[in-house]
Amino acid sequence: MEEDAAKLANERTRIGLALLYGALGDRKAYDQVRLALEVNPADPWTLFWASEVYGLLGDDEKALASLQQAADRGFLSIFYLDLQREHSSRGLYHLRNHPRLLAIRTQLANRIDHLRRVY
Amino acid sequence: MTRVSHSPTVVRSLLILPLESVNSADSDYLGEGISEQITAKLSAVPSLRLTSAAAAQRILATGASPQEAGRRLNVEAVLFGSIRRIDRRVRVNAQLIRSEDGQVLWAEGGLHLEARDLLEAESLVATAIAAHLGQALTASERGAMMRRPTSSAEAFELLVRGKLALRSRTDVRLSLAEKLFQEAIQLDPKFAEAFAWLAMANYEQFSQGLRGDEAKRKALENAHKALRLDPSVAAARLALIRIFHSTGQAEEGLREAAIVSRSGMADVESLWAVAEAYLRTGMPDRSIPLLQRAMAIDPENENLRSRLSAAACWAGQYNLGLQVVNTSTSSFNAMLNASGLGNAEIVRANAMRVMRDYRDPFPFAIAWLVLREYSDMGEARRIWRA
Repeated sequence: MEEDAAKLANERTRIGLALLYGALGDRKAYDQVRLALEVNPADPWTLFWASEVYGLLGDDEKALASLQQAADRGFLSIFYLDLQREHSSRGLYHLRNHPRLLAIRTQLANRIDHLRRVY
Repeated sequence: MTRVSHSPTVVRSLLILPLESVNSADSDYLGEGISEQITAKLSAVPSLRLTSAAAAQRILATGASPQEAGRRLNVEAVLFGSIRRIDRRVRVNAQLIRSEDGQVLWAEGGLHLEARDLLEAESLVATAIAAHLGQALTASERGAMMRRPTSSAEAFELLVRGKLALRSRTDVRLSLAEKLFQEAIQLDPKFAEAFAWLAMANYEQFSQGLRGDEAKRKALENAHKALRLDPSVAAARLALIRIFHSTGQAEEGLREAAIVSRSGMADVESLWAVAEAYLRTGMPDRSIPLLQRAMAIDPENENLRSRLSAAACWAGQYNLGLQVVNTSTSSFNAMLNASGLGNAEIVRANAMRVMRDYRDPFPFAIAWLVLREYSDMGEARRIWRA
């Protein structure tokens, strides 16, 4: 799977590998996140999932920073964040009540409310 | 050119079955493709609820008659018949029956029509159906039905075949769809719909992890080309809205959706485009009715099913979510959405299938994480090692 992924410059595939390494506690996850972000540095989708990878590795500061970047750059899938908060297997679960994570969730909810009024 | 009966019957819901291809060796796609295109054209008629040919395939496969298919899909009338091609010319014979009692609704043996090519046949059949169903068309609706999206009948056939190939999201079928759309564009470089569907194929290849980032860039480029050629092509806006999810431009997707909404179109791509934009910007409640309308037209569309189950789950409509998840043919979608619904049984069964069937690391990783929570790690590790 890793060999196949290496042939592609596809951030989604890289994040998939990073999640697998992260779930196994393997620091190779960092390399895969770096490669994913090299393909698409400002992509909020990649930044969100990178946040979960960091969370799986226990790198909480990076997890929260990446989540903040995702939110600042247009990530709006608040439900993915809620899934992380509700399911113990997910990388951000242990941060579910962290004030910074809750502030990011509020930021997303406010943005969505604004969009509801405009559209 | 056309001979039809002149006794309109008001019908509010209609199933258009795949027309049977009578003779042409290369026309497996022809009957199904033209039925889909006619359905799409008739979706411009606001008072008519349509169900696509694809929706009936599963029912027909059990040996059900057209009348039975109509009854089971809860439509008032069913159109069925045959298509024969002689060189480029196309001959269509069709009949319309009432689902309730099988009564023939068209006199004079039904609709008999000969057209100079597939493009003309599609428009003529759609307008004839509308007239015989007692649907009064406005000038713009009639204009939309008669519009020729390309000057090349051959390019149009390639588009129809490509769209059918795109229904299945395997690598082989996606590559075939891409090739067919490219060939259509070679024949008619101004064929906006072909660019739009090429964009959809490119993006699908990227999002399935089958191609690299260049496929996403191509998708974006082709969607923009389509809109430069014809800003009314909803499939191009749908492609853009989907791509924007991977480029951090979900809000721009709402602007595209607003343009689609203003057009008043109610075909599958238009409804899906607007629903997708709402879903990607945290408004699943708004996307649900649109997806339900799109699924009423095309209930077998796995993409729509996936989006509806996600929207229902995210909007807290668990019964609806469960109902849709249970009919999903995609193990990844079923796993993901059942996880949101907290249904352990569906999650476990589908997560195992994902780990067996997918070579793309992203769905595989999510299945692994989900299984960690749903406590079937012994089996998951066995699959992982295999």
